[in-house]
Amino acid sequence: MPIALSHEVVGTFREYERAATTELDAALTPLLGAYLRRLLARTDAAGLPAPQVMQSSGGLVDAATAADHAILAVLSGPAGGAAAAALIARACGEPDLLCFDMGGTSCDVCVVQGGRVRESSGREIAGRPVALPMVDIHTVGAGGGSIAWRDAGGALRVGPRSAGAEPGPAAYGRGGAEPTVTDAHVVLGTLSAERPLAGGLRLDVQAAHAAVGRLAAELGLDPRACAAGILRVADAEMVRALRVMTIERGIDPRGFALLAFGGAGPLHAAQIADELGIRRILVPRASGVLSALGLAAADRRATRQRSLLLSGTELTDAALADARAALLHEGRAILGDPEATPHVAHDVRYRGQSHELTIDDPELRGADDVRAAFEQEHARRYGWREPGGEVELVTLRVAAVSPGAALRLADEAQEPLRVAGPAVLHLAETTVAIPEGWGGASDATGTLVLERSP
Amino acid sequence: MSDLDPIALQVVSGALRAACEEMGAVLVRSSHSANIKERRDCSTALFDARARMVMQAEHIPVHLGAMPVAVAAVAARAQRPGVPWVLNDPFAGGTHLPDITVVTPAFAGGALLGFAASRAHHADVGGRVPGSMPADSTTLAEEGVVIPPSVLDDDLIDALAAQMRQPDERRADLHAQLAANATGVARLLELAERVGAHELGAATSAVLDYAERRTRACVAALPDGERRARDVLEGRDGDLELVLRATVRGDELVLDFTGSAPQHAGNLNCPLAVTSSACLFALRVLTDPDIPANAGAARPLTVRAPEGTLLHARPPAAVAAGNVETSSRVADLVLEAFGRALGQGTMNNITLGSDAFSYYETLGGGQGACPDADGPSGVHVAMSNTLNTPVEALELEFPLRVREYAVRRGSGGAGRHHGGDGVVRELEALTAMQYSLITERRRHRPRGADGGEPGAAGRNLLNGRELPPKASGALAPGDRLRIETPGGGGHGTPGTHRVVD
Repeated sequence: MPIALSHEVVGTFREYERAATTELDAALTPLLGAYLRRLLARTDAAGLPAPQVMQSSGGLVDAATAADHAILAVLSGPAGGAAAAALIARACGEPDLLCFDMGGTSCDVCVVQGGRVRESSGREIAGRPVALPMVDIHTVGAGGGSIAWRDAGGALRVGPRSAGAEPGPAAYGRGGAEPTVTDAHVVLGTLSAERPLAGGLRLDVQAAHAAVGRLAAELGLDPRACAAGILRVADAEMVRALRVMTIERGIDPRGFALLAFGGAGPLHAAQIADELGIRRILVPRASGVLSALGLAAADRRATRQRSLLLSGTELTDAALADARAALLHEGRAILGDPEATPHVAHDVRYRGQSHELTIDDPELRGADDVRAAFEQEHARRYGWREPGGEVELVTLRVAAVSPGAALRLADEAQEPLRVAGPAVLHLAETTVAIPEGWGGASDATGTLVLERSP
Repeated sequence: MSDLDPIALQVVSGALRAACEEMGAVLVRSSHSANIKERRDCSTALFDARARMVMQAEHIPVHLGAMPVAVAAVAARAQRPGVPWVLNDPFAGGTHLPDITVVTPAFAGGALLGFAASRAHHADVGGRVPGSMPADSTTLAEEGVVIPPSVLDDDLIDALAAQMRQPDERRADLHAQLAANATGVARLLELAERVGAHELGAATSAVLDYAERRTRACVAALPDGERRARDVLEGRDGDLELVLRATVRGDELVLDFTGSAPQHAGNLNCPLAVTSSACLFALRVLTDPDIPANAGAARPLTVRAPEGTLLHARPPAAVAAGNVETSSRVADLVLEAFGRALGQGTMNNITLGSDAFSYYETLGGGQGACPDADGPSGVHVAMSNTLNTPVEALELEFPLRVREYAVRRGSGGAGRHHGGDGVVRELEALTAMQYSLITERRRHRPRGADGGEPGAAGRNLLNGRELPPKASGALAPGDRLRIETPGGGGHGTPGTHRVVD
């Protein structure tokens, strides 16, 4: 019988979040565990290597370990995309990336800083709190299939309803009659009938015009203005998601490059970059299979965390070193790799506060380093330091990390690509809209690098 | 109607909402009071240069209609860039004394652009008892420091903190409010830079008109006519009656409380701003919560409450419980008039403290059932929208032990759909301390609708002995205070179409 113990599964304080997370683990583990064990038996019988499982933290772990605690894999899918973003960051030598993966129904946003995907120490999933470290991904309901509509106050809205893949946008010609983001692109000519989409789908231009035209009449706009408006509202939705992930977390997006992927991402990248003051955009050539590449190249990782609540004379170098060593030992044991390297994160606050800031600078060693880094971060995020405030280390997290497969992205078959806006570039798996003022070339990895001219 | 195209309308209103939410995030994450940081008893909002609220973050409903009054109280005076205001006077823009409001003007190139405002429930603002929520106050002065609209500088922060318990915490919380406002001002400036200061003024007017149009469309969908409701508050010296005549005519709603009890010698009195907040909250429930919370959404609503009554008190009435309890009953009256089953109808306010600490908490209970679903259990209802203080955080921070924290099974009213259950929270004092309880629905049960049964009444117990709805006194180490919160009313006749859980 699978057993879930809250101090093992979560290990941090705040009983409701810990209990809710453990309950989810107990509910999901029998299902995922049985599935993974069957899979393991069959890969073994077929003489294949044992599969690895992507965890919400963005690292891989043995299927046998994942089978014991399903909660570690709840965000497995989006974490694959985040791992891919880290892969591109390494391959292109761009340590700071804002990533947005826009598909048919939604848009996932994450941040790579210093080559690492930013983590959060917990979030809500389907209305339930999950108090475990995971890649910090924010999802908004704006995708190519998001439906545009007029609300009772006369505003143009986009989403959260989506036409999905069936019937899909009106332009798919499968019976969809409501105007979507994709239809707006067709009306404006960024997507055309001359160029079939990935999968050979031919666009029905007339159906798109009819759908957008009906909404335009309702709003009293001409159809092209309406189509441009649909894109502007959808972009605003995504810009808000990117602001939540950056400005609300104390990061200035202007120093970052924008990594756009997913079927619709590169169509919107330039407008979004302009809104945020970003001057560099990366579009990976393998846009549609990027997540799979991310999975193949991800690190193996086991994260352990413990609430310590140390402050004052109890927060010493020795106490810190002991706790780090104990958690690293647990993580290495899970990975079966005694050489796995530690990634340490400290959740710290002023005594008396109840929200922590995560301090994960790899250079930090002693207790005073942690105190100083926290005070600096607090001032940066909130604009003030607490005079005489006592710094409290609430939770320590240590990820034991074994490096993943070395993967080289190369673009040997392709001639380097050179492009200047305004242009629409049709790649095998995506379409890139390049407005006036943007231009660039593909690099050795096949990634298209666009720059804003001054 | 100001004209803004349908696209800009959506873009600007989204940007304003994001700015308010960001202000809220800064406030919650950098404050010290458990009320603010754990329970999020705070609100943030942006105003235009004419002091009209253009957007409020969805935090605490009871602050909805009261924030505009606070900003109006300072907007009439001369504004200087970077010079913020503070107030808590319930008769000059406040609600009750623990809710301190900080207002910061935003300037673009020498011209006033608007205001950022934040309101937070501080753990203590001085007065007779720790936590500043006395169960038995009869005048405002007993409830704490009264701050008329004043310029907030470092000297005033020190002077205010010195009159309150835990002055370091008060100072930190005021700084957190200033930081939140600075964020709001910065976002307003960015927006003005992007669209132009003049255009921003036009855009905010358009966002107000937009909220008005959407609210009117929803009100127009309600059948015309007059509806009546009456209910009571459980005063120390007996019940106090509140009455409502709600009239829908076309796209306008009039809520008339004429005939309600006169203001009393206890602290269930409300400034009109609190009554308006409760009415606006109920209007949001009856319309569409997706409508921006702003001054435009309030235009189709008229609230009438004669001066000198419980719902429009004159100074120097005590008001500590008006904001938390009377406001809940006002919302109940409106919802009952429109056929809704009622939730627990009280915030179950507990304040514990000594010179060493102040702990204030409101407890969840049962929500009323809907026509198509059971009411949720153990949630904050109506005018309160806070989280609970985790047991582990509470025991670390205060000399208290939590003996029990559980769902109060069977307390929800039966019905085709059941009302939600209340909770049980039993606290043991580990040191000597004062307690103060301000609760309602101890004598009268939350009603069901359409044949649904009422939820169970709440109970307050000290070492097993039953206490009245409003109670205060001393606790010795080992004493146990047990609160059982009310269940919600059921909806529909029980057994008519019971869905088995």
